[in-house]
Amino acid sequence: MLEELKVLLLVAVRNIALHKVKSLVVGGILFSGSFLVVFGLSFLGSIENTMSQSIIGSVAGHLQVYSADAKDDLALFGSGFFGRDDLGEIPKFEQVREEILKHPNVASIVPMSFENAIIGRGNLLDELFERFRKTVRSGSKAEIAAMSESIRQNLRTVRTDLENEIKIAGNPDDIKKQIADVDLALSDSFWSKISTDPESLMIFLESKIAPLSGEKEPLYLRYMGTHPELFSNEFKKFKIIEGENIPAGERGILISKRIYETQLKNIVARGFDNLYKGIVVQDKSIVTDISLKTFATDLPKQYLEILVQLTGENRSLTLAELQKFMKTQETSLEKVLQDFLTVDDKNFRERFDFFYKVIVPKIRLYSFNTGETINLRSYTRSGFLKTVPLKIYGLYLFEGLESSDLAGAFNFVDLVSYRELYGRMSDEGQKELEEIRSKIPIKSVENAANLEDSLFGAEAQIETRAEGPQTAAVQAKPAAALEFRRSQSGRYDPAELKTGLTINAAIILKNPRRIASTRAEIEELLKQAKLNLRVVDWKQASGTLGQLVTVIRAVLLIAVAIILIVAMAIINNAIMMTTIERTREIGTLRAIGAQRAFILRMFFIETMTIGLLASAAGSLLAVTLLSILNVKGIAAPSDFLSFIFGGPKLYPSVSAGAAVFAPVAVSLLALIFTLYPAFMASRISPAAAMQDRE
Amino acid sequence: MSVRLSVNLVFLTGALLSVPAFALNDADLKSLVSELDTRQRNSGDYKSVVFIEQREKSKVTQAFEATVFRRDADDKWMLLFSKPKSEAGKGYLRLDKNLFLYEPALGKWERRTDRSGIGGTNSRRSDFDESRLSEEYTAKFIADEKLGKFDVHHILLNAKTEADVASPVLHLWVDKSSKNILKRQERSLSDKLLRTVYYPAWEKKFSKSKGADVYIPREIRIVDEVEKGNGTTVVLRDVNLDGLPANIFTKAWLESQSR
Repeated sequence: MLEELKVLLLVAVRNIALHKVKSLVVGGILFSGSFLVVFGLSFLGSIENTMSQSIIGSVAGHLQVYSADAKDDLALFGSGFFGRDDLGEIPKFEQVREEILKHPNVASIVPMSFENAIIGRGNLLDELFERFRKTVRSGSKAEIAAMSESIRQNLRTVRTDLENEIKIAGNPDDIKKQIADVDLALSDSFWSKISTDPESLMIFLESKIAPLSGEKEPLYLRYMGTHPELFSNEFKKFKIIEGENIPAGERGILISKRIYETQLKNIVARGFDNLYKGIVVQDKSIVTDISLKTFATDLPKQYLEILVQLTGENRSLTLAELQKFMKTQETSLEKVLQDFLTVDDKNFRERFDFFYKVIVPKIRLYSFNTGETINLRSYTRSGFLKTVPLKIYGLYLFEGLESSDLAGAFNFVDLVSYRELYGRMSDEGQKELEEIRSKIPIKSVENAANLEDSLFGAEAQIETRAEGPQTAAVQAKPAAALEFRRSQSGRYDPAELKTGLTINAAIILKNPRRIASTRAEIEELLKQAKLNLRVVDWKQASGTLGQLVTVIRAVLLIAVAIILIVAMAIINNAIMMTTIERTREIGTLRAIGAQRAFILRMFFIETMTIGLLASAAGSLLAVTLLSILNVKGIAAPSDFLSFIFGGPKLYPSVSAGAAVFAPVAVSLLALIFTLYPAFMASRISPAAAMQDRE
Repeated sequence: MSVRLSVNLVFLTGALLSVPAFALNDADLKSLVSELDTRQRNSGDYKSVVFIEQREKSKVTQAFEATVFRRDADDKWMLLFSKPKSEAGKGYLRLDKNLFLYEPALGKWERRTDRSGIGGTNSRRSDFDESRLSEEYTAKFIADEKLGKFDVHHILLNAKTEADVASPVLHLWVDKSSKNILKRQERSLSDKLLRTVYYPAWEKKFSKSKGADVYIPREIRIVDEVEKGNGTTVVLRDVNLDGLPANIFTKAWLESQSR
C-alpha cells in the first residue's frame, strides 16, 4: 500500500512537472481561492470585532429593549430615512429594570431615549447687537463708545454690500429703504441718543438693521436622554474631556466634542482646520484636491465672521499685526483680512499659525462654551415645540472614535429634561395646569364632530356687551415681578432617573459570549412579567449599520462561491484535456496491469498534491500579509470607516480557523471536480491506447 | 387674530342689517371684509389677559396665562407669559417684521419668524394681533350657508402676493345678521386644510379713543387639522382699551417683568 502511494506520488510529481501550463493554471486558481478565503474572512472578522466594539461601547450596549408596540425598528445610528421613528414607550422603566436585573448574566441596564433638537441662532449682526446691549447695560462709557464705533464700522461694510446688491437686485426700492436705514444708523444724530434714549437706538438696530445680515441656518442637535452617571460608568469608551458630567439631580447637557468642533466652531476656524487636515496631515494640495480648493475659496468670503467680532481696541491691534504680517500699508481692516484669508499651499502653514496665535484670542471661537446655558427646542410627541434651558456641563468623546461623525452624533441630556421636551408632564406640572384651568371655565366638547353643533346650536349666545367701568389703568410694571423658574433651580429627585418614562434601554452583559441565549431568556422573563417588550442585539439595534457586516460577509461569500465555481469548471476542463492527451500513457499502464482503481488514485493524488501545495501557499501569503498589516495598520480613508475600524486605523488579525480550513476546503473541492475526468480516464482500455498509436 | 376676529364679528353684525339675503356683490364683499377689520380695530392701545389651553389627542397637556399688549397705531404687539412658572417671564415682542422671543432663564432674546407657534401651542402671533384682512387678502364670495342655527356668508380670501401672512388661503364663515366671524379655515397654497378656528363668543366694548365699539373674541377654538385630536383654546378676559405707558413696547420693559 505504502509502496503504491510512493509510486503514485512520484507519478504525480512527474506529471505536474511534465504538464507545467496545466499545473500552473490549476495551482494558480487554487492559490488565489485560498488567499481570498483566508484574507477575506480574517479581514471581515476583524471589522466585525472593531465595529461591535464601536457600537457596543458607544451607545448600544449588548442588548437593547424597547416597546413591542413600536411601529419602527430601533435604529440607534439612524434608520436612513427622514422623519421621526415611532418606537413606542416604556412608561414605567422601574418595572422593566427590576425584571431584567433578575437575569444572572445582566450587569446593568441604562435608560436612553433619542430625539432631535433645534437651536435657533441669530445672524452676525444679531450677535453683535446682543453684545452691544450687554455693554450698554453694564459697560463703562469708554467701552460703550468703542463698541459704538465698531458697530458703525461694520455698518459701513453692510452699506457697501447693499450698494453692490442694488446693482443686480430686482427690488431696488426695498434696498434703497434699507440703505436709508443704514445711513440713519451711521449718522451722528442717531448715536447722540446713546446717552438719552439707548433703548430706542438699540431697538432700531435690532429690528431694522439686524435682518439685513440674512438668516443663519438653525443648528440641529441629536440628543439622548439618559441617566448621566450610570451611562458614564457602563460605557467604557465614554470620556468627559472638558467640564464635568451632569451632576445627579441637575438639568444639563453634554455636547459631543465632534459636534463642537465641526458645527459650533467659528466657520473661519473650521475652514482653517479642514485645510490643515488636508494640507499638513494628509499632504494634499489646494491645487489638485477639489474639497480643499472649495475650503480655500470660501475662506476669504467669510471674513465678516471675524470682522464683526473684532471690537474696540482689538480692531486696531489686529489691523496693526496683520499689516506687519502681510507687509502692507493697507488701512482697511476688511481688505487686509480678506487678503490674509486668501491662502495657497505655500502660505497656508504660517497663516494658520498666525490665525490661532493672534486672531483667535480676540474672538469667540465657539457658539457656546462650557458653563453657559442654551435653549434646547424640540417637538413633543404631538408635534408642538417645547423649549427647555439647559446648562452645558461639558464636552465628551468616545475614546478611539474621536474623528467619527457617527459616534460623535449624540449629545447627552438628563432623562428628566428629555421627558419635558417629549411632552411628558411631571406631577408638579400637572397640578399647576389644573390650577390654571380651574380659573377659566371652558366648555368641554368631546369631539370635533359635534363641535359646530355644540358651539353654534340652538342655545348659542355669541355676542355680549362688556358692561361696567373700564378696568384700572395699566401699570408700567406689576406690583411684584413674575415668579419664574430659572434653569438652575430646576432640580429634580435623582431617583426619577430610574423610574418613569423611557423609550428604550441598553442592557450590559457580564458574559457577552452568551448574548444569544441571554436575549431569548430575557424575552421570556419579560413575557412572564406581562411586559410587552422587544429585545434585540446590538447588530439589530444599530439599524442599517449593524447589518453592514452581514451584507459584506454575504457579498464576500457569494464572490468566493462564484470564483470557486468558475475555477472548478476550469480545473475540470484542464484535467479533461490532460486525460485526452494522456490516453496512450493510461492505455499502456492499463496494458501492463494497472487496475482502474490505480488510475483513479493516480489522478486524485495528482490533484491533491497541486491543491494542497497551492492553497497552502495562498493561505501562507494571506497570513503573512495580515501579520504585516496587524503591525502597520490600515488607515481609515474616511470618518465613516474610522467608526467601522474602531479608530483611525484597522489592525486586522489572522483567523486561525480560516488559515487551516481554506487549504483543506479548496483542495477537497478540487478533488470533487477531478472525479469525472479521473473516472473517464479509468475507463480507457489498452486497446484504445493501441488504436491511438496506430 | 382673536382680537381681529372679534372686531370682524362686530362689523359683520352691523353689515348684516344692511346686506340683502342674496349673494354678496364685489363692492359689498369688499366693504364687509374691510368692516371685519375696522370693527376689531382699536385706534388706541389694547391690553388683555389671555388664557391658552393646549389639547393633544383630546387630552389637556399645557395651559398658559399671558397678557397681550397692542398699539395698533405703531404696529406694536407684545405677549408676556405669567403662568405656569416654567414659562413665566417669557415674552414675544413684535417690532416691524421681527418677532423677538425673550427667555428669562437665559436673559436672552431671539429673533424669530412670524409663523412660529406661540409658547409651543397651535396659536400664532396673528391670533392675537390686529385684523388686516382687507390689506392682506383679496376676497371672493362662495355661498350663503348655514352654520348651526346661524345663516352665514362663506367667503374665500387669497393672500396678496406681497403680503407676509401665515396662511395663504382663508375661508371665513360670517354671521349674516351680526357680522361676527364664526368660523375660519386656514389652508395651504395646495388647498390642504391646516387649521379650523371657531369664534363662539364675541364681546363688544366701547373704546374712548375710537369713539365706537371694538369687537373682541372672548373665546377662540383652534382645531389642528393635520394632527387630528390636537387643538388649542384661547380665552380672553380683562380687556382694557385705555392707553398704555409710552415706553412699554421695549425689550427693556419686557425684561424688567421677570427680574
